Amino acid sequence: MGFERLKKLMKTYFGVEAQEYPQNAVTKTYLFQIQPVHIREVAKLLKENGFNFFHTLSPVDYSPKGRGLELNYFFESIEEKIWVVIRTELPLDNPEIDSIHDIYPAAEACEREEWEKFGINFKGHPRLKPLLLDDTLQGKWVQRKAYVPEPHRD
Amino acid sequence: MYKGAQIITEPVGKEGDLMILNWGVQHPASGPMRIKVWLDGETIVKVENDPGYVTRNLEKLLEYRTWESAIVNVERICFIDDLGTLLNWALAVEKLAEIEVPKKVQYFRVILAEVGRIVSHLIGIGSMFGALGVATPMMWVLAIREYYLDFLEHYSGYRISTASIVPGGLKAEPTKEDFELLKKAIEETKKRWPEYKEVFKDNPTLVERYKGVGVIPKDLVFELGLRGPVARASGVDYDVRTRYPYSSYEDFDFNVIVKEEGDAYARFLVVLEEIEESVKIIEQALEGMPTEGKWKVRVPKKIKAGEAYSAVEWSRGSMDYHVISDGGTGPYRVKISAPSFMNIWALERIAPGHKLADLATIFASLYICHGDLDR
Repeated sequence: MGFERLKKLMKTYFGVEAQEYPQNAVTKTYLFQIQPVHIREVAKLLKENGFNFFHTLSPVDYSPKGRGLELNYFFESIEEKIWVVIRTELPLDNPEIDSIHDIYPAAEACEREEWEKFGINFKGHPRLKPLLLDDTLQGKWVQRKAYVPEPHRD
Repeated sequence: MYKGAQIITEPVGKEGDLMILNWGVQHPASGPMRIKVWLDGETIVKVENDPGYVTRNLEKLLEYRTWESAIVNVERICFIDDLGTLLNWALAVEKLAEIEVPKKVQYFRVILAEVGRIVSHLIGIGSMFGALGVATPMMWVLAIREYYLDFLEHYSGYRISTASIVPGGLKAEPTKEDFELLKKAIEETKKRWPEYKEVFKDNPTLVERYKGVGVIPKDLVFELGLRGPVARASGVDYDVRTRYPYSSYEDFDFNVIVKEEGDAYARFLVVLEEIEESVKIIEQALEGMPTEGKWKVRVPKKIKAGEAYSAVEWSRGSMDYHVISDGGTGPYRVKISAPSFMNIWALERIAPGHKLADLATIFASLYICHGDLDR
């Protein structure tokens, strides 16, 4: 089956083990912790092994805890009803990672949103331009912990 | 993207032989959103979405709330069906705190979530007609919706944004009168709906404009991660309620409406037919409502560090939250993955090749809510 094959290949190619991810209330989920440079190869491997549905990309800023930005990609295998979380960590200053928009077109808008809110540079992304936020908030990376929203008035 | 008070005039003009048009920001098909359209005569060559006119950045605001007060922001993802978003928040926090709510709370939450779906779908059908300039169906569906809003008002004190589902249970205990109002709403729906449905389904204006327009092939659903009625109208049987049952949905017997055609008319039919299924679920939940247990269990003020991911089938598709706790009194980070944010990108793929007049019907059939698109 697709997931068993994926587990084996992830071990041989990248030396990472599948960890259980019971935090997902939806269904059975596994987590792979990878190096950011491998994201494109991992995405291709996922796609080849039946993980055809991209759910979301969820970055978390752990800088107050002395860590960097953590990226979580959520994928689902429609056939096997298994989810996979791909987790990787980037440094907070000048975070960069390859875009997977051509492997998973659904990720294009998600990457664009997270570029706008976290300042993550997705290399190779075709349109990293403002999407949701006001002009006055561009470049302030509003979802980072360092950003404190200004009150409307004193 | 909001550009202050200035009027956007820059992209209206010509590019080679093509005319560039701003469709929106204000238009009668839905809430505020600009769609930049490249036209060759009447034919659409290219479309670019420009959302962001109702962005509140709820993900950031949530970091300043406690576990319970976060419902204020969560329910404002979309005011039309706030109950599904509240339910998902309760599920996520309960997963983090490792608590389980009594069966009767789960049943009543199902009732509320389905009421939310019905009121949302009714408005959705009204707006799909509204995009054609036909206003009467909207008045009809609003008349039915009123009975459900009466129930919500009596139960929670509010007609929309009800704040009724909280982590650990329900905000208030439902009374006898609440159940009576709900039963009345169901009765009225069952009395009026068969006739309305016939009128809506065979409406010549709608059939002419929706059939065969804006076809989304099955592959595109997986490619773009499309969700909810949009995915189901293209032959993808994906409904979180039956696929990964939560809040006791496995106890109820209902059909997942799936159509194969993938056109705007199929999406309209999915929304239309799901209303009856929701009514079925509510009836079963009312009948089988357990009596033992409390209406609210205790949730600790501080929840231990950890994370949780949860999803519910919201009226517009699967609504997912990724919630992180650092052991504090509120969330450290919340990622809201909303269905409209995924579904809107289908427009850029399917609109080219159609006439400009079809843009309104395709857009309306995608069943977008700008609240959850922008968040």
